[in-house]
Amino acid sequence: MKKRHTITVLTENTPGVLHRITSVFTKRKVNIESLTVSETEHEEISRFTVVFYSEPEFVSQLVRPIQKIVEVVDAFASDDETLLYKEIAFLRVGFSSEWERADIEKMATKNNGKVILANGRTMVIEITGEEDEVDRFRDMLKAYPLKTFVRSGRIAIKRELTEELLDHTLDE
Amino acid sequence: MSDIKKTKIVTPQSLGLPKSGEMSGSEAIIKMLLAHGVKTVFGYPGGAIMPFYDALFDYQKELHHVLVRHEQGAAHAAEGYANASGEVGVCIATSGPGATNLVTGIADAMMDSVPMVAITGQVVSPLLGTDAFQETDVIGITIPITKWNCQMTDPKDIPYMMAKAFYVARHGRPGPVVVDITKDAQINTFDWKDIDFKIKPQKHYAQRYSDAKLQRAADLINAAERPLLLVGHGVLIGDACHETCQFMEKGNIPAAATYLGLSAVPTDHPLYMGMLGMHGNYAPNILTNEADLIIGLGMRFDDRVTGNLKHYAIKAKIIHIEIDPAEVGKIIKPTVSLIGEAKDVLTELLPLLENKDRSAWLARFSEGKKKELETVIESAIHPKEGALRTSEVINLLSELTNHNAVVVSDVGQQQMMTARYYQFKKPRSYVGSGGLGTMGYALPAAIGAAFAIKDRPVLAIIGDGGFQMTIQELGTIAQEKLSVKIVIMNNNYLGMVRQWQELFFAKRYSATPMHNPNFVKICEGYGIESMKVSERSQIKSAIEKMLSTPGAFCLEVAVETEQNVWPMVPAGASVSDIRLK
Repeated sequence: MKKRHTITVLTENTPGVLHRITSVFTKRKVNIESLTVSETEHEEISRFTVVFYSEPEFVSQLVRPIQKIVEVVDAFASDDETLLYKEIAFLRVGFSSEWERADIEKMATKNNGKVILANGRTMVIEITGEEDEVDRFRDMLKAYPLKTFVRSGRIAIKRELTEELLDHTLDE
Repeated sequence: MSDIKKTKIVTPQSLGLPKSGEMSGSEAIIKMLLAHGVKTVFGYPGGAIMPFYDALFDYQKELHHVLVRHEQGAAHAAEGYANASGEVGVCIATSGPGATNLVTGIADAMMDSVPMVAITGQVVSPLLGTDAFQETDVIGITIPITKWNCQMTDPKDIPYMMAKAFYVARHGRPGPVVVDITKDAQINTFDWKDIDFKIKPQKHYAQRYSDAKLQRAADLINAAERPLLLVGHGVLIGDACHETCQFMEKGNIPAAATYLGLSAVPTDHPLYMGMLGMHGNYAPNILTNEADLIIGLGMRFDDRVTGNLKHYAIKAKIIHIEIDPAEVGKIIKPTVSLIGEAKDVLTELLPLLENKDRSAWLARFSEGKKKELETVIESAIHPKEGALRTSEVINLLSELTNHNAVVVSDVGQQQMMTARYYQFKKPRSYVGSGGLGTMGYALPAAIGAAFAIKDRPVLAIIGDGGFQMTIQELGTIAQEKLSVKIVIMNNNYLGMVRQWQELFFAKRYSATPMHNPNFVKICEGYGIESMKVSERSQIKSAIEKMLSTPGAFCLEVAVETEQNVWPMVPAGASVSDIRLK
């Protein structure tokens, strides 16, 4: 059965690497659910966090070709259970009365969200959490018109500290 | 293998590069090619690569440039050179259409693990991304079909990037690398004193298995009653032919080659059982499903080898010896995998191997061989009547060249006939397009092979369809005065497609009959001696004339129009459902 997986890729910070990584997914016709690219504790290394759905036994078919990419220093797959992960979302919601505004604010506060901007008849709520938490919060606000919905990709860290850059083979 | 391949870390010092001095990017490209032992390059000039060609004018003695007639020819010639020699093949093209014309050859090299460096010119860097004249996103286009690629806009990046390109192309599992160099990077200058770099080996090609795992593999082999060794391209690439034969001999283990593994083991070796796959030999295919152990050596269980996976190696445990970890478990889940160079793994495995009598198992192969000889081979190579058959011509070519030619074949029926009926005695005697199946490959690839091989005849065996895909390279052969012996197997059909139409599409010959030109006259137009034969009584003397004529020669053979290649594993069928007719 298909399950959610995360592949973390640590790469040299050069143009074209993103294309090389996504081409592995394209070739295998796997849709990427979310993607985050960011800097790491090592100056010249970037971290790609790729989330996708796949049969568990198929995951190595994606990880191994990614490991082969010349610029890739390391790549590994993780289940949700072994990770701490979060994403951030902005929801611009409309309201038509002060009572509605208060109701939305109350729901946001109760769910670890916060109102970061309010003007006219809309406000922007920021919420951080696991994908499911963000989805639940969005559902909760169903009664109100959702004007804009923006969510980031996942950021993830292994629950256990393991050395990721075991054999650092970057060209000097 | 060259010394550079064995060097662990590449630096400007290890390459013998200048310590100081001002130089243009173009000249630096040439210096880097020479530093990597390149003596011949295949290319075609154009606007964005002109500064390089201008610099080349001063290096004509050191670096021979072969002007092809179409960039696809340059890419295939580089492949042919690489496959025949084991060294990196180099091709050069301008930006835009020049670069896109290389694409088929680059994709072919990617599929077949061919070490290649393709140099493409690019528009000047301020114009990048503006849809400038002859601009194309070469990096974007070639990402899925290269092992690595890079773009240079600054001449001082050229030494490092070129060194890395060669390193990546030839190390681990080889493959093509594209270096895209903007015109201003070719023109501008830099000082060698600013150049410093280190290129370290790529970690994922490091040998990775424990002694326990090695022992487990040896135990599986020693316990096996009916083992079968599958010899792949990795044996040739990794220069492990000798070790492979030792392995077979010590364990009395029968071996069969994949298409790209042809010539790794001499065809007359008593333990060599023929070729695997769709048009391979009967015994190794049918006995794949009787074997209790399959040892895949430097191969990737391609679908043309395995047939229907659900009915493949049904009684066998699997040992997979392979340098590329991404190939392990991709198609077949091995019982034990040993990731490393074929030569290293075999050298470690050999002392653990027991000498075992497997004569009952070997007898099964002899039975299969006999059956195939009687039902297929005899009539294919010694027909008594009817038109000339491609198979008999190949058999004759093998005999009359003392089985000593380097044979380059195109794609289609003549390819399978060549693979089946030419007898290979030495490694790297066969050059062909495997994974991609590129028609038009043979003529330019033979040009490359002819630059790599000087002491043996180079035969290009091509169908009438494939010949016309890159026929313009006759001009290159004529200009370079190359001694390529071309044999056109002309059946006035796209034969392999026609065979499938006959067998699986109710003989509806859609778009396969060909109206062909007078090939002899075309060759004459290029100044290449040529003749046509259609009679059995003339074929031997015609081949002898071709072989004894100095320089290039083109022999057109009018062959039976509807000969089929047998045996055949129909697409989607099991290897043990191989059909003899």
